[in-house]
Amino acid sequence: MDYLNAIGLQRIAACEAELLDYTVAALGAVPGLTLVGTAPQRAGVASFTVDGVHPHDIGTVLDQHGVAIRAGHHCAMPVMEKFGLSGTARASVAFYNTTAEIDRLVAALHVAIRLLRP
Amino acid sequence: MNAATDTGNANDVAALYQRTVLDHSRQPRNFGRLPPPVQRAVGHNVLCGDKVTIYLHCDADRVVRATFEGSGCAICMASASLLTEHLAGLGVAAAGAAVTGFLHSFAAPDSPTPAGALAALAAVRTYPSRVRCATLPWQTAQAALAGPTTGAKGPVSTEKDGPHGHG
Repeated sequence: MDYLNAIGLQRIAACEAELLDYTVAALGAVPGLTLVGTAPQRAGVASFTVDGVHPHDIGTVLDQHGVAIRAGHHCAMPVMEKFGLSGTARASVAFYNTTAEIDRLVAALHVAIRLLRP
Repeated sequence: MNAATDTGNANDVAALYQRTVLDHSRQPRNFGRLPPPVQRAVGHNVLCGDKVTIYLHCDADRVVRATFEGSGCAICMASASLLTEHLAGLGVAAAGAAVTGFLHSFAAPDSPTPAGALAALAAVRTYPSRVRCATLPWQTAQAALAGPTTGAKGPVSTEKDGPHGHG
């Protein structure tokens, strides 16, 4: 808490909101990608699915490109079933991330799609 | 970022998603259900949502035909597709041994690489978080082989295996 307070929660929130906007815009430009969960006020996470490419396959390819995301049910199987999803891929951003890292995420995502899309 | 990390471990990914795996995941062989009488089992990876149903049509001592239905990642679908091709035509005992051997090769990474077309799945063994994607269809087939010829077996779950990945 000392660390976070030293930076300032307002600054952290502003930074994360900006990064999330950048992330959502960058992901939204990927063909076949659907963002899941688009509430205006939310934490720094962007869940998504990609047509024809399973979240776990996305996760593995991104991992090999040095990008760590989470994939699957996110311990929320009931809500996945409600939305008829077998899972999602989910990128999380925090104040220590950079827009360059988001660019890298999107570049790796294109690699995964080229490799795996039917 | 430097050049080495920019390209990632592209070779590793190529080994995992090699041509045979992509081919079988995009165009699964023997996809669909078999009418009764059939030996059937359902397998579910609750951590990632992969779900596979294996259908085996056996005569007195032989697997005449094997099919599957389900949805999951590329590794799981390719593994199920390869399984159906591998088991069809085998004696029931040989099919059981093939399934056991395949599962053993994933449980004991030092064991020999699966032979023939199944070798395409060998690289999955170096991805601990993906091993269950490859083994789910085979565990399900094991239940189907052990089961009665009619009705459904209880679902097979990968949940009881080894250390849990995170769903």
